[in-house]
Amino acid sequence: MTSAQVNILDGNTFVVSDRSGDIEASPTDTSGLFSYDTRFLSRWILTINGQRLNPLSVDDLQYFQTRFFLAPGTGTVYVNATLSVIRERSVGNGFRERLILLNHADDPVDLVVRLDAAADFADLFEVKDAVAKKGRYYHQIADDRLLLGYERGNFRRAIEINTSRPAEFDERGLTLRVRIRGQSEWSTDINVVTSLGTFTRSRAKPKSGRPQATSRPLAENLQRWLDSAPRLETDRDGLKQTYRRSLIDLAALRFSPPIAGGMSLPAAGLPWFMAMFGRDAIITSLQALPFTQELAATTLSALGSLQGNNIDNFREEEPGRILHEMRYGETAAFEEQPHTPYYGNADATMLYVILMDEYERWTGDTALVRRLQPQATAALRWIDAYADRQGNGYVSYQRANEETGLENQCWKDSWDSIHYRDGRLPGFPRATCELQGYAYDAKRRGARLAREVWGDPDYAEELEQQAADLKRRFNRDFWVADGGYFAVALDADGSQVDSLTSNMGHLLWSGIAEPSKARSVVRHLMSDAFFSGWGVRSLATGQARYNPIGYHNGAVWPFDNSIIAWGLRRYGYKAEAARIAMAMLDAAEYFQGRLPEAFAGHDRALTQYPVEYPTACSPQAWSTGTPLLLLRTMLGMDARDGALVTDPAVPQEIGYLALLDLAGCWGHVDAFGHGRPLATDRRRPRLAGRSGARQSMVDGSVTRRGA
Amino acid sequence: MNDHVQRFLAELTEREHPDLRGVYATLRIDVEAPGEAASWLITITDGTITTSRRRGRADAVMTASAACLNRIVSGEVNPISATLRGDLRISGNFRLLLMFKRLMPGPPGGRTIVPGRRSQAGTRQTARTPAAARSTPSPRGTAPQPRATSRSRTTTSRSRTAAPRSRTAAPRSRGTQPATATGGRRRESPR
Repeated sequence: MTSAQVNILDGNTFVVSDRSGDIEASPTDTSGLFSYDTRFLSRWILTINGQRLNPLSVDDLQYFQTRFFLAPGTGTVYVNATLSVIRERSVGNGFRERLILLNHADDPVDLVVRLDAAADFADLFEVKDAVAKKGRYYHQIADDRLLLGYERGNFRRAIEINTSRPAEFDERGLTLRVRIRGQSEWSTDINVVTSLGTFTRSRAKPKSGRPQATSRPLAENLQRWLDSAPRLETDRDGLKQTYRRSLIDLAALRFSPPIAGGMSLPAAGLPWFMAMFGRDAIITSLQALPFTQELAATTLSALGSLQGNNIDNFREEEPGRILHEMRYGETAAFEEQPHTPYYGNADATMLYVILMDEYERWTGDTALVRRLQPQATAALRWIDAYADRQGNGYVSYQRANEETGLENQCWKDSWDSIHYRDGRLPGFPRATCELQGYAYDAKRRGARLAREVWGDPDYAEELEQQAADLKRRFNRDFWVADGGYFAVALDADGSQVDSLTSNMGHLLWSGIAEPSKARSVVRHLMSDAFFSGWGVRSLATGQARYNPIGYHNGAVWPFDNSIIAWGLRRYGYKAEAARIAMAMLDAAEYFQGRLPEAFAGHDRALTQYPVEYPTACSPQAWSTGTPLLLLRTMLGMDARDGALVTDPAVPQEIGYLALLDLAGCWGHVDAFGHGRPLATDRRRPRLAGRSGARQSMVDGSVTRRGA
Repeated sequence: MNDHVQRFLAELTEREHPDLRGVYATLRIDVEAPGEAASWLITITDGTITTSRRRGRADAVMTASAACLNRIVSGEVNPISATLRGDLRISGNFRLLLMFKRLMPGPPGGRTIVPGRRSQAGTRQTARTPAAARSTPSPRGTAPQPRATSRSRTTTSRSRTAAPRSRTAAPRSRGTQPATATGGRRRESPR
């Protein structure tokens, strides 16, 4: 996807076009109108008197709406400079395009306006392959509309095109014959409505329909979203921009699957990952929890509804397992891909319990946590009953679906992300270290819920014992003693996979690392081998597979850094957490507040600016959530015993930092802190979150309204 | 024609459904068959299920051909894929339908990659009918199952459904049995 493309979206419906608003898909050009993982328009080209139009400018009005200013002509020579063309497009279920023609001449003009349309109904997973379709295409032409369809058995996808002014329809598009008086304008609405056959109740056959969502409710919805978020006050203008960008992007990433009853959860990334991903939805909900709690509630409910309960090798479903990815396209329908849903991940099930606990701490919503007790229990049970594939008491993964399943089922899911120091790849099953941390944390948090919400102290004790045992064994078996760090994994033999990776930063977040070992881990993470100046690299320099632009082998991942910063706070390394936060927020300012999925691991002194990793999706949900979690770590916010506690450690460059109206079970609270020099030399690590957080006279939190 | 559906529903009424405790809802299955259309109304009342052969108002409705429904209730067809294909049509409360889906058996041939000792713990899932297995068998699929049981798959799936509730049946704590599993473990060489 090139930067010359324009994306707008609403939920999982999105349009990718060129800067004229045209869609001309090919195996190398992935533009189109997409909905439910299917391309409904592969061609949508506007011509006037047979000529394509030139883009003058594009207004990205909102994430769901854009406006193209065009003029006729080819190249740089305007054949008719007395005509302006505006295409105003908003996404609903399909899109609506208002076409406005302005005649600047004194004399009337006669124009033939043509829209070429075609629909290949390619599955999202096929757009780059130009696969021969197994079904058949059909079309229906009426006086007032054109219907393009595709069917394979009972599988049916169709699109209807209609206009607000009379047009001539044919199987390849529509033609409008227009006469515009001098100094006048003419306009028409063109509606493009997608239909999924019989899939959802609300989407019946598109009988001269209009896109349902018009821009007004979406605009109101966005404003409500922004208004309900805590207000940020800071001396640092760049941070204000980053915060606003994060909130808007998070709004754009909201996705309402049919099972969510109109509520939304975060999709993984825009546009190609506008789908339900267990891991991404959970991490993003965790990052955003102090700012919005709706995403977490929907994520818990929706993922709980689709929790595995059978053994299904193709989908890698197991009882209790939380899904990895859900898709609605033709390849999923006909089981050419396992996404209905696909369960192949080793972490989301544990992260699910972690989110449930964190959600209850912030919201006090015991009703939801009680309702989801069976899901939480099944998730906890999965850890021991199914995830221990090495038989040694550690969570490990090995795909059951050898054809289309994922090899690496942890967040570093590229094929070569887990390796020994010398670059060799281990066999399967693989027990990566962060999975053990998540398992530990899930059991500890599950124990708290069992004791405080489910009224099951016996179960709580059982879980705590298991967690304590896991911690003890983990610190013994994963510790690379001569290097002073945790191995990235245990291989199939139970031997250490000894590369130096950022995975161990997650262990701080989970709390599984013994404090003395944590100190050594922190020293590594903040060393030149890891910390580039922009953040902690996914893989330390000096490892055989290190590559500054290696996706999981050297690139800096904002989300990874936000989790590490959270972990550093947990062990009391305030200054180190602030250093990571500052580096990330600096980087964000180079991207107008929108952190990319990853950037190159080059040293900051070398590049001066963060080099974006070329990925297809922006914004990415957990990169969007990163500044939010970093705000939390800088202010040292935690929800404890029904209260918001803060322990600010704000970098000096930020100056004053406050979040006003933080909603939670405490009502509304403000949290604030002042930037000050932070000594990185910490002598006495303290388990913040255990002993009460100390608040200075100037920094802290204030309750605004009673709970 | 609707034998499988009939039997499946009969079995549902015979047992308790702890996962459905606190749920009060109705669900209808409409079978489309030429000259032989039928409907079942399924009533969920706080963990118990009753069925009757009639049409009636329901919170959620599933509609499909008899052949499709038979294959769904026997675990051969995944209801979500069937829905996306248009073979199964659903309306009403989606979450309720997912709840109902959880009562259905998984596909034949379902196994999980766990070490051998898992079978002693009683959670290993085995299959008797490799011919009906999914089109993407793992290399293990060809190896004989060390502890293939002679239980019918329906029975297996039932015990599975009930299993998550009984924590006491969960495998014992890890620490007590470290290396004994190695024998039953299969390894793959590094690629």
